[in-house]
Amino acid sequence: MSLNSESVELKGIINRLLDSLSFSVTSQTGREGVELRHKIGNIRSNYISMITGGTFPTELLSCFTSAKNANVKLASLFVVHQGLFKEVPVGAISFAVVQMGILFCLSTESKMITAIEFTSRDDVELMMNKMRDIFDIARLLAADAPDSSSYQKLTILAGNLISYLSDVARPLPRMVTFKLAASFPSLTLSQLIYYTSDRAEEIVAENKIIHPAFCAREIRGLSG
Amino acid sequence: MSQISDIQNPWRNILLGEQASFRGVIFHVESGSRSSGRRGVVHEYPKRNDPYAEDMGRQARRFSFSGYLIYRPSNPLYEYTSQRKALYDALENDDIGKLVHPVFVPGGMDALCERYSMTESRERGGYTQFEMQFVESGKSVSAFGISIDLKGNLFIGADAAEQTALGLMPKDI
Repeated sequence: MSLNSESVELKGIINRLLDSLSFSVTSQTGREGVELRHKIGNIRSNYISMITGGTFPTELLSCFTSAKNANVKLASLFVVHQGLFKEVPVGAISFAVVQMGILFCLSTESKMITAIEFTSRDDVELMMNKMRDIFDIARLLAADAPDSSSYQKLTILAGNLISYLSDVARPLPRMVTFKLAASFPSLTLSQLIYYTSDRAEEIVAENKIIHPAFCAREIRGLSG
Repeated sequence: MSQISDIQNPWRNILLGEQASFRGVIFHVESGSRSSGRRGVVHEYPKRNDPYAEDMGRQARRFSFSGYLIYRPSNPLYEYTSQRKALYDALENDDIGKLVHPVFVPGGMDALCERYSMTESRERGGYTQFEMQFVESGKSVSAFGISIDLKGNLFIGADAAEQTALGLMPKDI
């Protein structure tokens, strides 16, 4: 299988990957976002010479690094790896590009997760379950690869991520449901639950309360 | 006229090589001592002559100094009254500090001042004596005896995955 014989397949895969990556750039991503767009454009027009010259992997990694530096949303990178999971590459180069994209995407996501400040144990557990499912799919795809190094690295990274998230979750409070005999204003609820009125807005935001004077009788909030 | 410090010999060279200090506040030393050893549990068995001394690790190093500060009209090292205050402040301050002595702690060591006493007497004006006891601070360890940098591990794992991905492209293109 040569570059010429799989050029159509390769073009489709790279374009779809770059399209989904470019969707992560928004008006809030600033100068780094502009740099990311520039790098995406550069790969799109020169990917053949980059592949033959051996610079394609470094250029693609540079795009993911710029995405991280531009503080793109984690959800937008989820779209990138979901797109890669749907690919069914046939050619060896196309297969390598898909694997490479998955590894770059998951390593960037893992690094970005360390910057998140979780407020409750439930949020961490939700993230942990989500990432576990993602890594399971990625490992399954990597298991079909000719060499097992991607599979091993994904297994190690998944283990490291779960250990990190478990450690983050340990000191955090849990989300619990409070059932009250009557409806109270959020300020009263904050005082009743946390012995301070400072957390009334947190209760309103968590329970999507329309008017803070009239909260539901059953509300969700942090245990401490 | 020659002085006693002009007589060169190895032990005097070491002694004069470094000024004793704690947290950078120097003091003179009348006498000092260093103590440590091994923590052990001696097992003695009935009907058996040989005991078994089980090694449980090194004892914390402890240092005792009988030091002093003295007034001299033109002292090149310190001003007597302010140095006296600086020394007891250094001994009482929060956290560990660096203890230096050319013989007992060459090069310095992080230590904690467990206790000290400061003595001044009528017969010895311009002379304050400090009795000081220090213990090496060592390092804090977690409940399991190890501390793991999980965030650092995660970054190492992510970088390793990226390095693997960089080498995925087939060689015969």
